[in-house]
Amino acid sequence: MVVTAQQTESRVQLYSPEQTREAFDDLAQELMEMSGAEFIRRWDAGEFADIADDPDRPEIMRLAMLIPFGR
Amino acid sequence: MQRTVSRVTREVLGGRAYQPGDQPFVMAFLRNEGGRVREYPAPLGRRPALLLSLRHQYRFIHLPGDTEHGPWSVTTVAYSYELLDRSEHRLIAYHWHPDPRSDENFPSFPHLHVGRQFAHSALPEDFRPHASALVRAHPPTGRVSLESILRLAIQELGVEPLVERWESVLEETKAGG
Repeated sequence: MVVTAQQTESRVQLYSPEQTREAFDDLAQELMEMSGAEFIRRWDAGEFADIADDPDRPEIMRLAMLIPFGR
Repeated sequence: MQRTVSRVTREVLGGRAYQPGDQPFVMAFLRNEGGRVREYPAPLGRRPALLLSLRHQYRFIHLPGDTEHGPWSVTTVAYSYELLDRSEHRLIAYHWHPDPRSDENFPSFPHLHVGRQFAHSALPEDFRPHASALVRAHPPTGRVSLESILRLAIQELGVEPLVERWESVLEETKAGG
């Protein structure tokens, strides 16, 4: 879908669950070298709790905030 | 929210189409690159020197008896608003990510992060440990709005808005929740 400059004022672009899951998976692979599903499983299990908001690991919170795309 | 960010960027926010349920949704800058959707930070202003990385989680809430806000409303449940330089180094980040597993290193309260580059080795020796501690700290902020971050970017960090009428729109969208 083409979005014009005028449309950007009020429109957001909506994606399907499949598209956002794929985007989340790609990002998890790029940032953490794991699948999106594995990141979510380990996040839910608390495996990243000690480093979740560590300034040296900003990629973890970046992914955590995007988890709704991956579920 | 798109109306808000359109004062300073031509980039478009994206999210997942609505599905029934109580799960949170998230909005971010997304673009389609060769058939793959990708999240990215948006350049700000006419001559972009800063980028905005935005992740905003929200829920739909059903208010069937509320004639003013209902029958459906949206409430923020978490946010990450980050200002980055062109190399995507974080200058400042405003976070709120409530989580039952929170502790002092992973706080539930709204806070900010100062970019790691501010703890530079060229700082005076006495000051350096304080700077290092600050970049690892989570200074509390109270809830901040996206509009207030964009106001900071425009008024104090040199971002040139794309339109003249930006201030009144930020006031309107902030008031509208």
